[in-house]
Parts: sequence; C-alpha cells; structure tokens
Amino acid sequence: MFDIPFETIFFYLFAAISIVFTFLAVTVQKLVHSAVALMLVLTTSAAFYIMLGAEFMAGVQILLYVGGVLILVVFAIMVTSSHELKQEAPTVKRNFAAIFAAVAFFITSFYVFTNDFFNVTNKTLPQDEIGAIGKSFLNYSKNGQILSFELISIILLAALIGGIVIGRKDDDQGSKS
Amino acid sequence: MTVTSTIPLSYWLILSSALFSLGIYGFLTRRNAIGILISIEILVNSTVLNFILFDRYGLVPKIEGEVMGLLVIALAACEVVILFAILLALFRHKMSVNVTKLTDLKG
Repeated sequence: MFDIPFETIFFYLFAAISIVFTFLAVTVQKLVHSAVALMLVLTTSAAFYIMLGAEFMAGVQILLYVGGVLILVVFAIMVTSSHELKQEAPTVKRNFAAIFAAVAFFITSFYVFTNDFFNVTNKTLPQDEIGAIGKSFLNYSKNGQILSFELISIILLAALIGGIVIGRKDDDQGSKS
Repeated sequence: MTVTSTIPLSYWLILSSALFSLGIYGFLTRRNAIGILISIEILVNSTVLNFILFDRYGLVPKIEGEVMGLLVIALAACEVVILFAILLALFRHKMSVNVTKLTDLKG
C-alpha cells in the first residue's frame, strides 16, 4: 500500500476533483454555483501545473484566472441578474446531441492518445524557467517569439478599447460628442 | 533539473480530453450566455494543460509550450473582457442573456 508514489496519488485525487467539479460547472442549474465549481476547476489546474514543474504558469493561472477572470464572471452574473433565475434544463434533443458530440470527441481522442506514437522523453528543463520564458518572448532571432509578444500586446490594447466602446452607455446619441 | 514524472503522458492527455469533452457538453447545452462563457473557460483551460504537457514531455529542450500557454491565457482574458462588454450591451437592450432568444438577424 505504501509503495505507491505520492505523485500518482495526487494525480488521481486532483483528476477526480477536477472532473467532478467540471461536470458540476456545466450542469448545475444555478449559475453562481457553477462559477464556484469553475473556481475549483481552475485551482486544481494550477495544482496540475505545479506537478508538471511549471510553477510560473501555476502562479499566472491563480492570478489571472482565479483572481481576474472569475471575478469578472461573477460580476457578469450579478449584473445580468442571472443569479436569481434558475437555468432551465436543456431539451432532450439538444441534450442528446451534446452528449453525442462530447462522447464522440472523447472516444476519438482516447483512441489517438492511447496509441503511443508521440516521441516522449524525460527532457532536461532550463535552469530558471521564468528567465527562459522572458528570453523566448524577447528573442528576435529565428526561433524567437517576439512577433507573438507584439501581437498579444496589440490584441490586449484592442480588447481594452473594444470593451470600453461596446460596454459604454450610449445616452449621448443625439448630441454629437 | 529533469522531469521525473511517474505518470505516463497518455494519462494526462486523457484527463485533459475528458475536461474538454465536458466543456463541449456545457457549451452546447447552456442557454444563458454566462453559462457558455464558463464552458469556454473550461475548454481554454484544458488546452493550456495540453500545451504544458507537450512542453514537458516533448523532445526539444525548449520552453515554447509554456510561452504558448501564456499567450493562450492572455487571449482568454481578452475574450472574457469583450464577452462581458457584449453581455452588458445585450442585457441593456433585451433585459435577457438567453442566447436562444437572439433571433433578430434571422431571415
């Protein structure tokens, strides 16, 4: 019993938590409960990243997803007063179609993933992970990621402006401002 | 530092595809736009997990997978901001965020 490695125990534990709460997040009738389940799913994902040795990603996950995106989702639920009304259950036809799509995807990917044709190694990681990420982002030679870095900054700016413009109250329609 | 993971890659991949399937189910069954938003978050989350997996178990000793994961997280944050703004505008006009009632453009 005690010769099972800790990593295996934690893997199955967190996998069970993650799958159960994902199921709750997509099926529960009250949206606030769904958001709380989503929080647990995102936190267990951060645990997975730590298990894989990606501590920086785990920190980003907690800061950005659990701290930022989830607050925004809860805020959206409050603003649109969706927390008051119970979500109606899906119709039988729609439910059947969705189950079919999900199960078909799962079976296909299961078949692909259990056939072992990925070249898998236990590779050597860079010594400092964060430094390697920063160098990769600002590297403008052949294998650098500077273009995606610049693109994501433009996209962030566009999302900022777009969010303000779309969400603004247009009460000054008559007067040209 | 080497990755000394005792868990095979295929187990991780099956876990992430299970999360993705549940996300697909939620995406197709939810009627409220915020429910759809939550499902999209689950989908994106399992995708980032896949990026990190192939970064860790892949052949090339590089960190590109984590870089791509960061980019995907940033894109997801943008997407949530835009969706929230659209939801606000929608709620102001329709007093509802039920996506099955948005049939104004239907011919």
